[in-house]
Amino acid sequence: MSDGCVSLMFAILGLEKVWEEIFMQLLEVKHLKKVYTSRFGTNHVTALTDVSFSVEQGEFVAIMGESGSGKTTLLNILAALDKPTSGEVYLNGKNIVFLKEREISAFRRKNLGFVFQDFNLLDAFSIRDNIFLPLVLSRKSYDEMQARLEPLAEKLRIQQILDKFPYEVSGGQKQRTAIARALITEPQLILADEPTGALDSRSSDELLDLFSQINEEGQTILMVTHSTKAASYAGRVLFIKDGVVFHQLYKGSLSNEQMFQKISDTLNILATGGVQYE
Amino acid sequence: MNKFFYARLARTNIYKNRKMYLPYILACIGTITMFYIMHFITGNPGILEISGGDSLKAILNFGTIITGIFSCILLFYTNGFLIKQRKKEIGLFNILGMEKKHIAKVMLWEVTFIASISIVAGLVSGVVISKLMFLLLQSILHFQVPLTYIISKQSIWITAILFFCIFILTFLNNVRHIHLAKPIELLKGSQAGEKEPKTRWLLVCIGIVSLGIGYYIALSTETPLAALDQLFLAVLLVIIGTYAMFIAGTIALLKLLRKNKKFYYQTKHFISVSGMIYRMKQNAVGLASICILSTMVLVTLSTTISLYVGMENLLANRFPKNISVSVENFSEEKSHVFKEIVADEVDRLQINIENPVQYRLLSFAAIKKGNRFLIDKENMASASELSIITVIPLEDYNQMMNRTLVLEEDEVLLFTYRGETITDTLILEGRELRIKEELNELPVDGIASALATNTYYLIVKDVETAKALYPSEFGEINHLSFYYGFDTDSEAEKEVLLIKALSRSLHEAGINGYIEGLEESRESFYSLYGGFFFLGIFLGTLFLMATVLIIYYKQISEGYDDKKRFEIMQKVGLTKDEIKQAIKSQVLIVFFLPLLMAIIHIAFGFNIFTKLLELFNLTDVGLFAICTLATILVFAIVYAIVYLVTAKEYYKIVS
Repeated sequence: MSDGCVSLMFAILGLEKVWEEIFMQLLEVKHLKKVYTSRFGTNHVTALTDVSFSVEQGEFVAIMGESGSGKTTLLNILAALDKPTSGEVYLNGKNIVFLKEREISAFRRKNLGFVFQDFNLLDAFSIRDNIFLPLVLSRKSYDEMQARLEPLAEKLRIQQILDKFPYEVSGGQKQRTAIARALITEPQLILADEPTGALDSRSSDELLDLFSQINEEGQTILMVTHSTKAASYAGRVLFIKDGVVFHQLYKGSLSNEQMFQKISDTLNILATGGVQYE
Repeated sequence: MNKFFYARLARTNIYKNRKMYLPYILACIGTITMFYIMHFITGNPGILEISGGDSLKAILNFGTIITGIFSCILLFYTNGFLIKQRKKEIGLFNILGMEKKHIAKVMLWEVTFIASISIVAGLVSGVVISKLMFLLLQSILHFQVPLTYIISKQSIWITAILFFCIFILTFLNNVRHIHLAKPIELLKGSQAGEKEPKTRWLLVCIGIVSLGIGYYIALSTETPLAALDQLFLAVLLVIIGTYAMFIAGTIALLKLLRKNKKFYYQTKHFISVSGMIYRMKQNAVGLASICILSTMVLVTLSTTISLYVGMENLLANRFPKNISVSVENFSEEKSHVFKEIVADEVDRLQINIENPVQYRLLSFAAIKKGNRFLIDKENMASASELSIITVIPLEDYNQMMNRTLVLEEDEVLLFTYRGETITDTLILEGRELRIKEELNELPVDGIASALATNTYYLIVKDVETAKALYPSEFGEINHLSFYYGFDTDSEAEKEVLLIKALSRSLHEAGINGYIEGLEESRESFYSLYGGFFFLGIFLGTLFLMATVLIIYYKQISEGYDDKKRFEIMQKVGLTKDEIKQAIKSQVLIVFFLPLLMAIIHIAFGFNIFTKLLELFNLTDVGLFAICTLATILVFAIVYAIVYLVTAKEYYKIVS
């Protein structure tokens, strides 16, 4: 029986919620393919060959892969910043590939939170205004924005710097600001692109602890990284190579250190061209 | 290393940066063309052959100097902008292993290329267009200016040398920039994280105060001479005020807007207000300059156009009668001789006299304080209070106006030509005179218009009273002076002949007089005011070119800076439409603020400029208003076109 029939059956029985909870993935990626064509159509570069995976509500998933493996392309497609050549991406059951240009921005604002390697904070705004930015775009009132900010700022330990400007604070503080900006819209999914890439090791550890913490509170996180350390905090690690999901690891009850070991073993096998096996 | 390496590199650099360099090279060519033309026309000996050629040459000379200085400033400014934009590229060269002296070598080649292209092209177009401009000048002046030669070697040399020097200076400035900077700074270039500007309340205050005083002076000026006196101060204050307001005032205002949370946290305002605070820091000076330049364009054009268009009006003010004769110390016997001579000459040339007016008079200068007139020979210089008093005996007035008034010894009729009028009594040198009637009209000598001072005409009881009123400081008086003005029914050439004949005959008869005529002076007026007009168009074009150039570079550089900002906003969830909207409102404000400010300046300056035009005999305020409005309209249209073109470039960069 196909998924469609089962969901219909549950719907008839008035049990959509139950169906969602039992079966529906928060994010489902099916047979994604992305081919870049040069301007005159002479060169074709395949960034993603055939990528399928899914993320459940409340998961913390890391995607690993070397430069050129297609990580960034994948993230751009998930963020609706780029369109795949073929394949589908479902977020909460909605196919975002076919969203219209007008809907995309609102969709992105409501459902996704972004954390970037280079923070992407606006110099013209104070820390507070940077965090408010997505809410202002959603036309929320100032009082509501302030109400949402207070607990968040406390959790992220940025209350003291709210009125400073990005060039006045440290890298770790900038990245925490970016996280606050991502969380303040209460998104379904946080997409993080090398969030520790520009941080020193102490700030990296702090940031990853923070990710674990908000994940424990129920936030779904999808993180792209090539740092083994960062990936070892995740509940599940997907390895991408040559445009396909090559392998995946579950953390289960392993400690961060054990997970770290397991990931580096896998990376070794990948690097030496090992066969796809678990 | 290949000896052409640097030259090739320089060529590629210019080509790669053509978006930046093309406008710069065009500006170079433009300024060189204009300077050559100006110098060429000024130096043309044909100019001196026309009536009033001296003053025309002086005006054009002034224009040449202004063009030279302005070209220098403009090219220096633009070059500075270019080098700022290219810092990153130069930093890369440095890091790739080129020493600073190598970079300097490349830059020398670049300057050489640009200088040779601009100077050659500029001179060629100068030579071509100068002929055209000469024709324009001729049609403005309404008469033939003999063009002695087509190409001036001297002008070519002077232009080439001047601009060669300017290019050398820009090169040295570039080398200084590169020499002072560290490679890493060069790499970071323009994108180094800039701090938010502080609100400088002191500067805001200075701005408000100097704008206020400048505007007040402009509004409160009452006489043409006072206008001439105060103009420089007012202009200076307004310039200071403009810079201060753009630099500090805008930021203070934007920060106040940001403090208003209800206003600030709305999608549209949120992005533009914060963006503007950031932009204003870098652009305030540029925008203030655009504002000043625009104001200069508008003032130059509107005044010179008014003078030119209002030529007939101002000629009528200056020459109320086609021909007027003034004779001093006019005794009875002289009167007979004079009348005979006039009758003879008019007969000989077969001219009929029309609308004649004549009266005897005495004129002297006095300082007016309220309703008192004081004679103080030492301190007559103070312009705004200086007045001319002209006394006319009643019998002449009655005869001229066909009236039969009677006056007592201490009674006068008052006619105020320019200036505050006086009621009831006036006190002249301690003598109290009762004003029996204020006159609405009196045929006056055109000299009164030319003198640009306030003039009070007093009609007094008789000749003796008039003599008694004449201050002894100015010497003994035997007879009154005499004014005789009339129109004729003949054509211009005959009037000119009549003036010459009268002048000669009166001189032979031993009568000292001054004769002037409308037709005789028309040519020198056209050469003077036509010269102003020509210069107005010329400088107006030059200033406009500068405005356009500054705006273009502003847009481009802002485009590069804003690109990153809008990318981030898109990632955070701003739609392309919203981004476009935000860009549009921001660009519109930045773009049209200087124009708006310039128009405000013009509005406040209108009064003082009206007074100044009176100095040039133009009293038609309506005409000046229309010319000003028309100039503003045309300028705004040109400005809008520039906006559309540059905005397109900007959007291309941003998206």
